[in-house]
Parts: sequence; C-alpha cells; structure tokens
Amino acid sequence: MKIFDMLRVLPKSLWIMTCNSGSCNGCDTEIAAMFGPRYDIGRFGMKLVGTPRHADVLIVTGTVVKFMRDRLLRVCNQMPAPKFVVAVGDCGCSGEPLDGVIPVDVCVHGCPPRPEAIVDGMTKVVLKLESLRRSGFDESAWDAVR
Amino acid sequence: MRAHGTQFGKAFLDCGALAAALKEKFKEDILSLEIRARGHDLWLEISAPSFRPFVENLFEYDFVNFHVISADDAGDNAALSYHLSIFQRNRGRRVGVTVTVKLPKNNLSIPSIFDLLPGSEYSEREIMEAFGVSFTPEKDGTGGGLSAAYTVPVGPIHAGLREPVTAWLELDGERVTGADVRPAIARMETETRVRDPIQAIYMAERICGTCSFSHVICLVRAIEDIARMEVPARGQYIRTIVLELERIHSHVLWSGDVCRVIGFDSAFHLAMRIREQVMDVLTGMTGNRVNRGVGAFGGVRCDVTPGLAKAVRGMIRYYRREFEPFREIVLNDPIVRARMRGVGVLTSDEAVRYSVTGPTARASGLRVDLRKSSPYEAYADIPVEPVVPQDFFGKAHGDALDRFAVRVQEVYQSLDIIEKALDSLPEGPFAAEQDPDKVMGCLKNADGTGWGIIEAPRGDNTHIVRLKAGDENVCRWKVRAPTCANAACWPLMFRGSELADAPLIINSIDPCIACMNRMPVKGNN
Repeated sequence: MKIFDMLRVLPKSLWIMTCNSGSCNGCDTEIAAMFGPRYDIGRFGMKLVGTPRHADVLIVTGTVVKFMRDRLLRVCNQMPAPKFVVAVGDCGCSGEPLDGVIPVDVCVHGCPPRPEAIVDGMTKVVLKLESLRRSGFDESAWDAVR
Repeated sequence: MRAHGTQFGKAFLDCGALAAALKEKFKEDILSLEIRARGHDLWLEISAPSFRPFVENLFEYDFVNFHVISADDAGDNAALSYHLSIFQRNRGRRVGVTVTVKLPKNNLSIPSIFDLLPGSEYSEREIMEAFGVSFTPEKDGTGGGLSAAYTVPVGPIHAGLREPVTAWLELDGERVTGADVRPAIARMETETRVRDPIQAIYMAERICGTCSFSHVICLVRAIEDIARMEVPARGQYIRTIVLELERIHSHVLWSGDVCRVIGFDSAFHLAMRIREQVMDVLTGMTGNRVNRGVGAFGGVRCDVTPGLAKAVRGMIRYYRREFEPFREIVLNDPIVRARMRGVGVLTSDEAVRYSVTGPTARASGLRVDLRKSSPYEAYADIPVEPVVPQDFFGKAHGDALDRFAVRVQEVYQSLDIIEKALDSLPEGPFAAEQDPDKVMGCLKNADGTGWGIIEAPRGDNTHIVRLKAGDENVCRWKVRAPTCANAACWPLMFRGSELADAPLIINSIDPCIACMNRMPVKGNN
C-alpha cells in the first residue's frame, strides 16, 4: 500500500461485528488478538460492536453450516448500507465459499490468518469505501453496486 | 441421586484389582477382557442383558465419569462402546473402563443410562440419530420442556457469545425459572474414511483453534496405543511443554474474554497483551501461532534448542511479573466479585452426577485432574496437584468466580510445570522415527481400537480411533471434547439466575462449540 493511501485510511472509523458461522475458533482468537493492544485495530478507529444494526463491517469466520445460513442472511440484512462483508480464514474464502450465501468484499486467506493479515484486510475495506465515495456514492444504487 | 460407594476404601484402585472384582461378579457375562497399562484402561465386552446391571455395579467402586459412546459396524451386529472412567475420590486415581455391547441389527435397542449418568444425554442422542439405536425408556430434551409464557432466546448470534449456542430461557420477570440449551448448531464432520493417520493429524488440529495441540496429542496417543509405539523421553517432555504453553494461552484468553462479557474491557486488553508473550514463544518454537503442526506419531516435529529454552524462561519470568497485577486487579475488584459470586452455581454432587470435567469440575471442589490421576507424557515425572478453590478461598462455591480463580491459578501451575520440564529435559531424539514412510509402514499393520484421553485446557479430551490391518486409512474416529460434558449442566447453572447473567453463565465453562459437534456424516444424511 502506498503511503498516500495509508494516510487516507487513518481517519476512518468502521464498526465491526463478528459472526462465527461454524468456524473452529482459530480465526476468532486471531480476531480477538487483533482487537488487543499489540495489533490494536483501535488505531484506525475501528471497534467491536454487539449488534448488526450498529455495524459497518461484518467479519464472518468459518464455513457456513446449514443451521447458520438463514441466520447469517438475517444478520447481513439488518446492517445499514453501506456495508461490507469480510471473510476471514480459508474455510470461508475457498473451502466452502461464503460468497454463495452473502456477497463478500474482502477475503483474508490463512488457516488462521495472522492478525496483521486481518488488519490489512480491514484497510482494504476502507479503500473500497473510499473508491466508492470518489465515484459518487448513491445510497439508492447500493444494491446495484453490490 | 445415586450414591457412590467406596469399595476399595483406602486401597489404591488399579486396573488389575478392578478387573478381578468385576470378573468375580459377572463371570461368564464378560465376554472378553483386556488391560492396557499405558492408558490405565480396562477394555471389556459384556453381553447385552447384563449391560445395565454392570453399569449400576460400577457405582459401587467410586464415582463414575461418563466420556462418550462410540459405535461401530461389526458384521450382523452394531457394537456400542461406552467409554467411562472410575475416579477414586480420596486417592486421586483413575481407571478407564470401556464397555462394549453388541446389538443385533434387527433389534437395535439398549437400556438408557441417562438416569444414572445424565451427562450421557448428548451422546445418546447422537448415536440415536446416526445409527438408529433406540434408548429405552425414551426421554425428551434437557430440562423436560418449557411451559412459561415468556421464553427468551439468547443466541445463536449474541453480543456476549463468541460462538453459536442457543439458550431458551423461561422467565418470571427477570428471574430464570427454566432453561433449554441447544449447543449442537455448528455441526461439522470428521469423516476420515479417505484419510490416512498422518493426514488425520492435520484435521485434528483444525477441530479447535484454541486447544489444537491437545486434540493432536489425543489422536496421536490413541493411534500409538493401537500400534504400541514408544515415544522417546525428550519427545514426551516437548509435548508436555507445548501442551502447557497452550493451556496458558487458552486460560489467559478465556479470562480476558469473560472480563469483556461482564463489561470490564480494560482487563480484556490487559489479558490480550499478556497472552501475546506466550504466542511469541509458541511461534518461535513451532512457526505458527494457532495451528502448530508439530504433532507426530512417536514424538514431535520440533526440538527445544537452548535458545528457545532461554526464550521460554524469559516468558515465564514475564508472566510471574505481569500476570500477578492482572490477577489482583480482577479478583480483588469488588465489582467483579459482586458480578461473578453466586452466578451459575454447580454443586460438587451435581458435578459428579453430570460427569463434569476440567476446571469446571475443579471449581465445584472435585479434585479431578487427568495429569494426576492417570499421568501421561512427562506428567509421570512432574507431580501435578489439582487446583481447587477450597485451597485458596476456603470453600468451593462452584460459581463463575471460582471457575475464574481456578483457571487463573492454573496458569501459575503451568508455569511451574514448564520450568520443571525445561530443567529436566532429557537428551536424545525427540521422535522415534522421523521418516513418514516408515511411520506409515508401521501404522498400516496396526489393528484395533485405541483410546486417547488427556487433560486439555477445558477438561478431558477423548479420541477413539479404529484402525484395520492392511488398510492405510483411519476407519472410525470419534471425538469427545470437554465442552460436550460440561454443556450438559448449563440448565442447572441457570437455576435462579437473572436474564443478564446468561452470557456470563454460558461463557463460564469456557465453551468451545467448535470442539463439541464432531460426528461422522455419511452420504446425504
């Protein structure tokens, strides 16, 4: 990432919700580490929220098991636009792709990915939001964009 | 409730004495009997009519702990194996008992042992679903159904829960009057018919991200049990060191997480900062943070070099210095004490009855710890005393605060164990055989069923593996994670609590839903 882009990432503040849809906990511990002081995603103003109605980004870990499929859709539909979905871990990225259930914006590979990789994925979300803003973001056209 | 006898009194309970006593009592009903000294296990097959009296008889010796039921195809019959343990309460000994019953396929019916051991509920349900065995008399779900007007679901997606669990709470105002918990949501398969034992190691690692190495060691021990493989002393010590490092990371992560659940965010960040040190050491030792990939048959795949030993000692010093303030801040905080004291109480009698394991059982005052009762790996040389709250609080309440304190105290215990293991690290090879082809050649000829049981961070972890001679793949593989035993007592913990306690109570046993729902899935079922 260029330094110019990095500076643009800094003032953004995305609120994150995580959803475990059948993962082995490995990615979840790394996400917990990402919120911790060493990797400290709070630097970017990002924080963990407990409800999809407050969230901008949904982090999904694991394959989508049958039972969680409908629930995941409901959670995703409750989020206000503009919203982003990040698939963390190889299960959701390439094992049994999450993309068939809900549209995915960023995939973070790894089993599990290191916290740095997840932070990198989150900055890509910010860049995507920025490019949308530059191209004249229209909320009514949001569904068409996705 | 069924009383537990103490037939052996002050004498040590051991496999031989137990086998003799059982033989005398059941004579020709015992079709076969085998003693496996390495795992402190007794394997026997019993005729179907005397199965129920046999299990009832086990209660005469001391308290019986239920692990899991595994099932297998045996020609015209289906073979159900009940994996049980008898713990000797006063002497801290354990004997594993595997009871196999063969049922004809045209009449798959067996007496339920739910009334004797309520912890068998999930296992019986699973066998019923997967193999069509009917357990008589039939029972309905946990808690016997709900009746009140207000039933509130908590989960599967909830701010206080990391993993999908659903608890339906029956409410009278804010008070919980009944609960029904359904943890079996994220059900994933461990179908290994097309995988050989070495590939199975990497699947075992991905059963759970927090206690991955303990699953690996459990599987590896089960297969070593079948193949009669020996592990060199250095390999055993390195396994112990990695297992204890993993216990520290798991306990510290859980302590932080439970602080977050009760709204103590700064303690969560403190715990995460402390945890990174142990992750660094694990990364240095194995190359990975979470799925370490160092387990192997007949040893391990990494060595502890002098440089690494120095790094581990540095970590131990760091923990002695930095973990103490965390413990003081959390445990001496009046708000934390008020929040966690008396929440989610499980008495010691109930813990015995529901076959609760690990820190949850110890927090209820039971001195059970597989590292002491049936020592494996290097624990035979390093004495481990179970950490129970009556030793430092004076009395075991069996509530969330006790569970917190027990886990925090176990971190110190693990530090001592690692230090002792480093001090007496034997010289020599760290694996019996490093060439995977030679290992596979040895495993190809192995035949039989093996039971690996170790003390994972959350309680006892059980893997049952079946290998057939001439077939290089794993035939059958049953995983019973500790949460499976501990989750059965959630409805008991909810009694008399308030709605706001629900996330704390669910989290207080350190649940790992990923671990517990593992079953073979065949075809489209």
